Amino acid sequence: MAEVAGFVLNVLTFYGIYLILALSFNIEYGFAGLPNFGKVLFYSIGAYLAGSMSAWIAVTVAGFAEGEPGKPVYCAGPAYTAMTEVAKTSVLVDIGVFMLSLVVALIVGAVVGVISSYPTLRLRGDFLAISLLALGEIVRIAAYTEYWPVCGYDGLSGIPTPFAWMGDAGKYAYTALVWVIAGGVYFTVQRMTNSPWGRALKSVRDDELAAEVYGKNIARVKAQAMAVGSALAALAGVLYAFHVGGVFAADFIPLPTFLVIAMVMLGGPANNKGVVLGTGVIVLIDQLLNASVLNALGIPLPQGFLNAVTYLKYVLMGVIIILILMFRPQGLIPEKPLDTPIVRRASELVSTHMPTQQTQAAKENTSDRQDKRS
Amino acid sequence: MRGRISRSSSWESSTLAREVSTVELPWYIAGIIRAILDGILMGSLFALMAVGLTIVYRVTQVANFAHAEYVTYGAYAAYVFAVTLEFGMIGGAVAALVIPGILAVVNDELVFKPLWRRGSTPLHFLVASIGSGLILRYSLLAFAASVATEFLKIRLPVFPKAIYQIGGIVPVTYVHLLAPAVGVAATVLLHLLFTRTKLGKAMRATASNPTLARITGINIFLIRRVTWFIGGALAGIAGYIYAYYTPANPETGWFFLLWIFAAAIMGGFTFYGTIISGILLGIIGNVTMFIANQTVGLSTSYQPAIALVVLVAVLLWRPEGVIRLQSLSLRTRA
Repeated sequence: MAEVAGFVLNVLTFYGIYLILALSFNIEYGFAGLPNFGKVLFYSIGAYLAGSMSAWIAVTVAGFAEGEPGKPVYCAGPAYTAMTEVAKTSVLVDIGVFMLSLVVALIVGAVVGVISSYPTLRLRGDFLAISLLALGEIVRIAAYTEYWPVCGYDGLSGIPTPFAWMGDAGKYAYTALVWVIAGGVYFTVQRMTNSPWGRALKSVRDDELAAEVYGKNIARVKAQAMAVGSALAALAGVLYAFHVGGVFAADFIPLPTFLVIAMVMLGGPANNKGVVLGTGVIVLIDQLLNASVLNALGIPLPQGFLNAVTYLKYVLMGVIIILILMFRPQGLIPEKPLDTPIVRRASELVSTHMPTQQTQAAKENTSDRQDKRS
Repeated sequence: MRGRISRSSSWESSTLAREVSTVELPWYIAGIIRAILDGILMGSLFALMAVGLTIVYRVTQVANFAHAEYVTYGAYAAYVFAVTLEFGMIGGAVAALVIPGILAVVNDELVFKPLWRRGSTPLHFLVASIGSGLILRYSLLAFAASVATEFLKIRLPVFPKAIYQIGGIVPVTYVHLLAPAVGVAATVLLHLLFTRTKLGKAMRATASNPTLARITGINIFLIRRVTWFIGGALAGIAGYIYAYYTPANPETGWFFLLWIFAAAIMGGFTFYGTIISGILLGIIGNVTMFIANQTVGLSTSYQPAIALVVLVAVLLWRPEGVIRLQSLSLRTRA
């Protein structure tokens, strides 16, 4: 039972993290039509920031200074013990580094998002896609090769998570915290995309020329979408780093990007409710199709299948993306008209007044016809 | 790609060759010559791959992110035919042309053509090509991980022999000649196809205006198939040459994706522009990497960064392409 509880907890936490990531991709792809295939870049930036800052603060608080030459202090072997010791005892450090990481990741994510998309904002979408995809790979290679910021191929582990002082109950608290943040992000994104700004994004997506005629600065609107999307992705990266309790550069191969694309395509681009649904389905598939999870759940499967299961998962993602594009390009929950107080009130008025008029008109029509016939 | 780089950094160990040589080259000259030779080799491969992307893009408007996977499948088709089925290296080469070509046609028939018929936007093509790439790459990886573990890393049986040593220390292998030769042959054949045959002219007509081409009586569905076949076959033969040179794995193609797109964008998605850009990119990449490695000590794993820098520079400076060469003296013949 312990395995099942751990699995459910893990799924829930990843659901929250991926929900933020998918919502950010929805702003870029769904609303603004920007194919940001470098999603993992901003996700990884959040994780690197969270990992390196929290590790650095923890070793400083612990008074640990015997680093190895050519590496950050926190990459030395004994730093792990020092950091976990600090994490277990100091509530202030745990919560403090978490809050600090969130704020810094939001700012840095937004800035990097604007800078990295600047060369391609005025150009076709495929240029943006390939340059961000490549940048994500190169940043991963750099983080894997260099000891700065996350200890290269050794990886960084033992960073102080916000509820480390609570012991085992900390996991539950962290899942709850992730969901509080994800909920906040959902409502913020929902408000933003239903605002005039959200309509500007849609207009740029649907017809750049028309949007420009109506006085929208295309490049600026796209840059704003990239800034918001990248900041949220970095936020998700911070939550990921504190969930795992460490950062490994090798984890940031472009696969999370593909998962997020599948989530948004499946749920429904430009519909945040659809994204919640799509994320749930894909996260469940992603977490379930795992050799260790399948073993722990006691499902008997041949060894050959278990060896290939991680790869088959991504084959499945590709199949989902293509089938959705072919048979239901609007996603499971299609894009809805605006949802603002005024629009809602107007539609209420229409539904209360118009049907009577329509039925009356219909009655008049039929009576007219009957009159003519007679 | 990594195997090649590590070999290029161990050039100084060939002391035996140095003793034999009559002309003693300074190490940095030898290193640069080697970088240029490797650059021409890789550049020819980039050109072969990127030209397929370009013609597919021109005819069908698909910026195909799955194009790099045809390279991998070319290498694996060659391996299966040359090693497992023992058809020899020629049989492997034929398989590397035909199988990825058919794969590309099937990919189009199953994914892009239905989407095109439904009136999908280029953005949908882009996402669909990412999906196709995922299916192709990871089904191969899944097969290698579960059924045939020898597929995780393949190497063609015939090793490239050094046929000449420049200055006694820089080896020139068959592959260094094979890659440019195949590149030149492909360019000449495609040039003749586009200028001298009805099929090639129909392809150009479809690229410039599909509706008009269809009205004129061109079978644009046949043209689509031919285009995808050529694109896949060129990528496949490039994969074959690469696997001949250095071991390949299921993710080989993925590492080429950035180079392919950089070459195509630098050439402005034009036929000759893409070929020239590909070769230039290969040389720039290898020479810059050698200099940066020797002077600043930059790790060779940063080589993709050079492609990205070139790509971003092109996009900032002239996003319509630096070397735009639509045709060579075609105007007089038109």
